Formats: sequence, C-alpha cells, structure tokens
Amino acid sequence: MAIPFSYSWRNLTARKSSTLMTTGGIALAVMAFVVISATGQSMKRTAAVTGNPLNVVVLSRGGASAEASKVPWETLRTIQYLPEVARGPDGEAQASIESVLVRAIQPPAAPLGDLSQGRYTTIRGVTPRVFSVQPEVKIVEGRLPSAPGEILIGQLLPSKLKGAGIGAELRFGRQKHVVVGIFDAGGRIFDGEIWMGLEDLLSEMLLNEPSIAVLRLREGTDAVAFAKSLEDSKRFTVDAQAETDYYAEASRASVAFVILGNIIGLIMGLGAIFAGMNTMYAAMSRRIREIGTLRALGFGRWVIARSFLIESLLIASLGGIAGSLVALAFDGVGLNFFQLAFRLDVGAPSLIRGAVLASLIGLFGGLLPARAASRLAIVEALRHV
Amino acid sequence: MPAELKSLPLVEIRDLQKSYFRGGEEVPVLREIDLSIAGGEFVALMGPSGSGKTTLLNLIAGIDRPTAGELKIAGRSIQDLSEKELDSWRNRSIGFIFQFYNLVPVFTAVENVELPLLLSGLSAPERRERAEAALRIVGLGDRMHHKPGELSGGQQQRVAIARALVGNPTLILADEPTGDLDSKSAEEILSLMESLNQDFGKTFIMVTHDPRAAARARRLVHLEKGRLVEGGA
Amino acid sequence: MNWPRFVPLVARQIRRNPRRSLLTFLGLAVSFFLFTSLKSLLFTMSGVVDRAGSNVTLFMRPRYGTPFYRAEIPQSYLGRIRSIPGIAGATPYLFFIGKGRREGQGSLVLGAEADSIRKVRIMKGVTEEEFEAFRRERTAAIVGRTLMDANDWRIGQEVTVQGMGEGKSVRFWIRGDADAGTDSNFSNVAIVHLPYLQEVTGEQGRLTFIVLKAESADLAPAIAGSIDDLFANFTVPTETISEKSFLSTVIGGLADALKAITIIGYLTLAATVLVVANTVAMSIRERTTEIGMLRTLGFGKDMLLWLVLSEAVFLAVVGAVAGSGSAWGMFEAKLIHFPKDLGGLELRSNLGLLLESILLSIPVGLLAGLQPAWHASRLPITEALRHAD
Repeated sequence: MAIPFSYSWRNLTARKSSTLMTTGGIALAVMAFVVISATGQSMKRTAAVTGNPLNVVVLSRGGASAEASKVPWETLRTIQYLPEVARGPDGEAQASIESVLVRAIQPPAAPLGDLSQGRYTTIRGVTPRVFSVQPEVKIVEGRLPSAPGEILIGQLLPSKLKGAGIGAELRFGRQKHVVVGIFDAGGRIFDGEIWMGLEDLLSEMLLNEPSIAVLRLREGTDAVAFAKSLEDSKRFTVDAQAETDYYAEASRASVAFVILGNIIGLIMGLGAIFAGMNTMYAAMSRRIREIGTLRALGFGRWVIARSFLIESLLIASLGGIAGSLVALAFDGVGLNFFQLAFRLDVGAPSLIRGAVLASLIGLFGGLLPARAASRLAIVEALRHV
Repeated sequence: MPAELKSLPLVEIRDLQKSYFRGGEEVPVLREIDLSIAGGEFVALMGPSGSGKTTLLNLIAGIDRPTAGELKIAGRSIQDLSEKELDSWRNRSIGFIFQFYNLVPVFTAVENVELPLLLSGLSAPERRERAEAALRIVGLGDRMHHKPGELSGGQQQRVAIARALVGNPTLILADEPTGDLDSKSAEEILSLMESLNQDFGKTFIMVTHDPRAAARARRLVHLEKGRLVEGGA
Repeated sequence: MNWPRFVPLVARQIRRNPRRSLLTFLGLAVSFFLFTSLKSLLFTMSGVVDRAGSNVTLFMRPRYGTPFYRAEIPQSYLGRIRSIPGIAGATPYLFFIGKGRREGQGSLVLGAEADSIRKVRIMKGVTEEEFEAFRRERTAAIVGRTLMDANDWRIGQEVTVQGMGEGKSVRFWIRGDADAGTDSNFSNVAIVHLPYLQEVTGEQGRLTFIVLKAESADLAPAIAGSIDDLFANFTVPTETISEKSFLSTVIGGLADALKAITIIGYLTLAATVLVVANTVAMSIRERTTEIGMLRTLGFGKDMLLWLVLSEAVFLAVVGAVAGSGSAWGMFEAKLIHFPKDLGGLELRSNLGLLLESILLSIPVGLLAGLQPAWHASRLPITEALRHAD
C-alpha cells in the first residue's frame, strides 16, 4: 500500500511557518551556489566564445600574454602572407596586427587625481583589418574612429567605468580620448575593451612594435597544427597559439571561482542539511501517533520512510526552485574581474548544479528522520501522547 | 495568617460573570456567581465537565479575566489590577497545582520549586534554603536533585505542591491534582494537602470530579451549567 | 539587575531536545564558519592595500608603453631622483621573469641594490646575518618563503632560473629567506644583486622600476609630481604613484568579486536567522504549557519575551563562537592559502573579525527569536495551559 503524494504535501502546508523558514534557508544556499557557479561558467564561456577555431594568435617568443608580447613589424608582415592565411575579397590577407595594453583607467565620473578608482581595462590598438578576423564585432552605436584620440568601447565597458558612453572622455596615455562608437562583440572578451587606431596607440604610448597578430586561416586549415608549425619554423622566433587555446588559458581565473563556488555551496548545503533534519525530526515527533496508526492500518516501514523522504525532498525542491528563481534575477548583470568584463549568464549548467545541491540537501536532511520514523514500534507509537 | 484577617472572607466573589465569544456569539460560562471563602478553608469545586469549574478557578488565580462582577481576594479587587500588577500579585499570593504537574523537565526537583522565587528579591542561598524546606515538608527531602523524569507521578505532584507552597501564598489552587494519579498516590497527595490545610492553615480551593478527593474537602461547592449550587453533598 | 538567576532557565533548555540542539548548533557553526572565512578572505585581499599599501612609498614606472614588468628605465634616472629634496630613499629594481618548477608557473627574480633596499623596503624575516651573507657575495640571493616552498628550494642551494623568453638564465645561491604572507614584500620573489642580474641578462643600465620613500606622506604627492615633471621631456617619461594607489587599482579589479563575497557572507547569516527561528519556534511550540505554567507562577509577558529572545541569542552566540572560532583558528594556524598559481596568498584573519562575527550573532539571535518570543508572550495563559502538542 502506498501513501499518496498528497499526504506529504498536506503535511507541509499544515505547518506553514516551519516549512517556509526551512525552505527559505535552503533557497538562500541554492541561490548563492547558483550565482557563484554561474560566475565561473560565464567567465569560462566568455573566454570560450572569444576563440575562433580558424584564428591563430602570434606572439613574441616567451611572451606569455598579449600585453607582454612584442613582435617585430617585419615578422608580422611576412607571416600574414603565408599561404594558410585567408584572403579577403580585395586580395588582402585576413590578418589583424594589434597592440594590446592593460591600463588602470579612471571612470569619466571619477575626480581627477583619485587614482584609486582606476579599473584595469584592455586597450587594443587595431586596424580596420580587425573586422576580417573578428567579423562578429559590430558597431551598434556611433561610428568608427576617424582621427587620433577617437576610440571605440565595448558594450560592457559602461558597466565597469561609470559614465563611459558616446562623447565621454577617457584619460590614459598622453591625451584625452573621446568615445565615438560602441561595439557589440556578442559576449566575447572584446565587449569590455577599448579599441583605437593602432598607429594612434603606438605613437601615443611611445611604442615601436605591435604586440600580436591574429591570423584568419583558410577554411579547413587546422589552427593548432598551423600554430605548431609556426613555432617550429626556423624563419620566425615567435610563439603561436590557436585562438581557442589562447583564450581558454586566459580564463584560468574562472577556475578559482568554480572552486570557491563549490566550497561555499558545500558548506551552505551542509548547514541546510542540518536545518532540514531538524524540521523533519520535529515533523516526525509531532506525528508519532499518526505513524503508529498508519502502521496499524497496514502501511509498511518502507512506505512510512518514503513518505518522510518525499516530504523532505519536497521542502528542498521548493527551496531549490525559489533559490534558482532569485538567482535568475541576476542573469545578465555585468561583472568585472580585472580586465575581464562579462555578463552573468545564469544558464542551464549552473541551474542544474543548484538542483543537484537542493536534492542532496533534501535527501540527506530527510534520510535519518525517515529511518527513525520507520523504526517506531507500533504499540508504543500508538500510546504516545 | 494574621488573626484579624481570619474572620474576614479571604475570597469574596460578587455577581461574577464570564462569557466567551465564539463566532461573534456570546457563550456564557459562569453566571451570577456569589461565593465567599474564609481563610483556612479547604474547598472542593465540583461539577460535570463544562460546568465552568476550571474557569472559576482560573478567574480566582488571576490567569483569566471576568466579563463582569467583583472578585476580591484578601480584600483586593483583582479584576481592577493591571496585567503587570496581576503578574506579581499571582507570584506572591497564589500557589497553583496542575493536573499534569507542569514541571520543567530539565530542572531538578529543588530547581523546580525555586522557580517562583526567581521573581522575588531573595538571594540564591535563601531561595535554595526555602525550596529545600518546602520539599522536606512534602516529604521529598531525599529527592531534591532528581529530575522530574526520575520521579513517580505522585512524587512529581509533591514537587508541584512544594512549588505552590514555597512563596508562602495566601491561597493554593489545585486543578484536578489527582486526575493523573493512581489511587494510592492520589490518596497520599490528598493527605498531604489535608495536613497542609490543618497543620499550616493553608487555604485550598481544588477543582475535582473525583468523589474521594471531594470527601477530603471541608466544604463542597457545586457548579452546574455555570451556576453555583452551594452545599450539595 | 538580578538576571543571572534566570540563566539556567535559558541555558538548560538546550538539554530538553539534545538532538535538535545539536543539529541547530551544527547548522549555526557551519554558517558562522563560512561567514568568518569569507570575511577573512575579504580581509586578506583588502588588507593587501590597507596594511602593505603606504602613502609614503612611491612607485616610479614609465608613463607609456609596455606593462610595468617589461619597462625600461635608464639607470641614470636614479641619481637625479636621489637629488630631489624630501626623498628619504630610492631603490632600483630590474625584473627577470623566469620559469617555475611547473608548466605555466613563473619565478620572479628581482635585481636589487643591497645598499639602498633596506632604506625603502622592509625585508621581513631576513636576519642581519642572512643579509650580510647576501651583501658579501656577488651571486647570492634572498628568496621569499612562498617561492622557496613552491620550488622546493633550500637555503644554501644553488639554483638556476630559466628565462621565459630568449634562452637567458640566472644562476644564484640562496643565502637567506624572506617571510611568506601578505605583509611581506618579498614573499614570492628571489632577490639578487642588480649589477649581477644586469650582467647576466645583458641589460646593463636598464631598470624596471624604482621605489622611493618620501620623508612624509604630505610630501609624497608633490614629490611624485616633481619627478614626473623632471622626466616629462626625457626619452622615457615617468609616472610616479603611491603604493596605496597602485594596490588600490589591483584590488579594484577584484571589486566585484569582493562585493559578491560580502553579499554571500550576509546571505549566509540571513539563512542562519531562518534556521534558528525555526528551531526556536519548534521548541516554543512544544513548550506551550510550560509557558502557561510560568505565566501562572507570575512571570510577566516581558519576562517571557526576554527569556525566549535570550534563548535564541544564546544558541546563536554558542554556534558563532564555535563556527567563527574554528574559522579564525584555521586561518591563524595558517592552514589555508590560495592555490600557488593564484599567487599563493596566505589567508589571514584577526581577532577583530572573530569578535565582529560573534557580536553579529546577537542580532542574528534576536531576529530569529522575535516571532516565537512575541507569540509565546502574547498567548493567553488559559489557552497555553490547555495546549496539547
């Protein structure tokens, strides 16, 4: 004989405040867990979508990152005409020579001289060729720079630097820079960057050489193998990486968030398990006679245990759903981690993780009370006052 | 108790009414109660269930408020007291014995007895001394540090009696004090109350529906459908 | 006030339902453990600025160009800087970025000037003997504890660090160690003699940056300004900022992460309020007749309110002492630090944080106890006595 599901449900609604408080505790734990793991996921995803499987990043030998890289002009000019590099309709190589700097930039709203408000931001010196290797990047507001001192910003930059928008002035290097356009890089890392003319940036920063080149390979070329062949080549002393690999490495900080999220989730989950157990034990003691009656009516031990477990899982699911809904409210919030700007994407992977956490809380919170309930001696339970 | 008070009625009840309101409808529980109890009496309040005897006891104890009428105890009209005054009045003037003893399970016998004294200005040693004395009076001098769970029902009720005694109240009220006891323990408890009444001059008002308990009382007051039927048996 | 007499009435309630008390205690301890840990994490990160960041210390680096660790400052600048009035000391550095023991891990070698470094920087954990040994020997090095541990190096050992780039390498003998930890400036670097490093890397005359110390914090902004003005028209214009601003910017990159950690910490406490409120409510519901009894004995409404509130606060404080205390102990015992590839920053806590957490348990308990306490004290006595649960 089975106890109907509605029995468990009715019991929950019968003691509303206790259910509500336990659910609330579980909801907070699940919410925190979902948001943190979504942060890790979003950082990782931002890096992952940035890398294009047909692009290769060329850096100087030993330069671990673009900012530290310096590649001589001659090398870049030679490399971009390699046969593997794709050609545009105009016959030009689809290669973007870029200078990459990370600088602490003051928000336009910050008072002059208050350096403490600076936020690390990537400044990328580019040529119009950049749009042939990053075709997804589109100007959504304003226009392309046409004079020195004019810059583009990614759509996420205003969330990082308060007041950054068309017409705003950003101070770095030797002069003021006017924002003339905003671009949408479709969730790529570039969304949090400042782009400006390559020559403009080099001359302003007193640099002689650009940092990197990004090459778009012909359809069907294996980027990893091509990068390897560049590194092995005697002609150039460069490092090269498939763009996907390059940005995957850049997302290493997200690992810390995933670890932190797991630890916090585990600890909060543990607390929630204790709370759930308390509630379920109390539910059991209040119902000892009822359990005796059910047993006397012929319901088996396992049936009793199961009904308690279902009750516990129900509480946890309610908490899980509530927590996930609150977490979803944070979807799309702009976040920054050093120069990386990204939108929080509370997606399926983090929601599933939240659901798993909620189920574990329900399961472990209900296990012992369910066992205790199923082990009550019928006669004693019936006599209980 | 001072001699001059003895002649005056300790409890004076005039035209006492008590009603409950259920769904906007007035349900009278006690009507036109007139009752006078002198100091040193041992009164049994009897009546069928629903007759209002516990309600009357609660009103005398000051844990419930009358709807109308006058309730004077030791010359004090308690229906006029504020809630705070009533709290401290109860603490000083009333000892209460419950059917289910109502002891604190995590306290020992002596700690339970001390409970009402916590609200007094007595020091810890003084409180302890009085509680021990009260326990000796009820014959539990050798069970002072037992917890309620380690005592029999009769013993637990003795602890409760000691707790009712310890503050030296004007009036001890008991609500079915033997209701949860076997007949032997019940007899012992009744004998204890009897001797407290006779030897210490304590005034008892006891609600009971047990004829054997009623037989120990020196005066019977019957309630029927919220009205007093004095004398009775 | 004679409240101590009521203590048993509050504290002893824990024994009434030991299982529930234990579960509540564990829940609370876990929450406060997490709260204090997160607070310590914040403290560690912002502490980098607050404790190590000084307004007196200035960093000078090139105004434009490559990242600061690749900067090229002519060594001749040093003499000019030293002649500026108001400067208590200036010491040059040359960076050499080498490979670590594992793939992707770096070992930073700093070329430094033995005569001036201690005028500007404190070398925590370096004894006088160690420093003397370093000073006397051209190829000697003082290495931070964190870097030593990461590479399994020992004092007295000969070490060769391979450069990240063009096949250069530096060989040195370890003669001393600097403390690990956030308030140690050299926990994760190897310090060698500047002329020696310039020679082996072929970078004679080049510096990466200069650290200066102003005579007072008031002078620092003016000094920074005059240095930058002095070099404005030189080949390498400079930018001089205080150590505090520099570190603030680093922490600024973490601002969102720090905010998130703070929010999660307080969310944990909010969850704790619910957990304790539930426990106290359950406990009070089971004790309804006892509350009726106490009221009959003359305990007033306010007294009941305070008794229940105290019970909630008592629970919360006990849980907080255990949870926050163990978190604090864990950090104080230096059992936890960041993964090595995230800087190996050692997590720190302090007594103030512990105290703050424990004090916070009082409002947590009060909030949790409010509803049950109010309910218990307002229940009519006769109803409470009739209650059966």
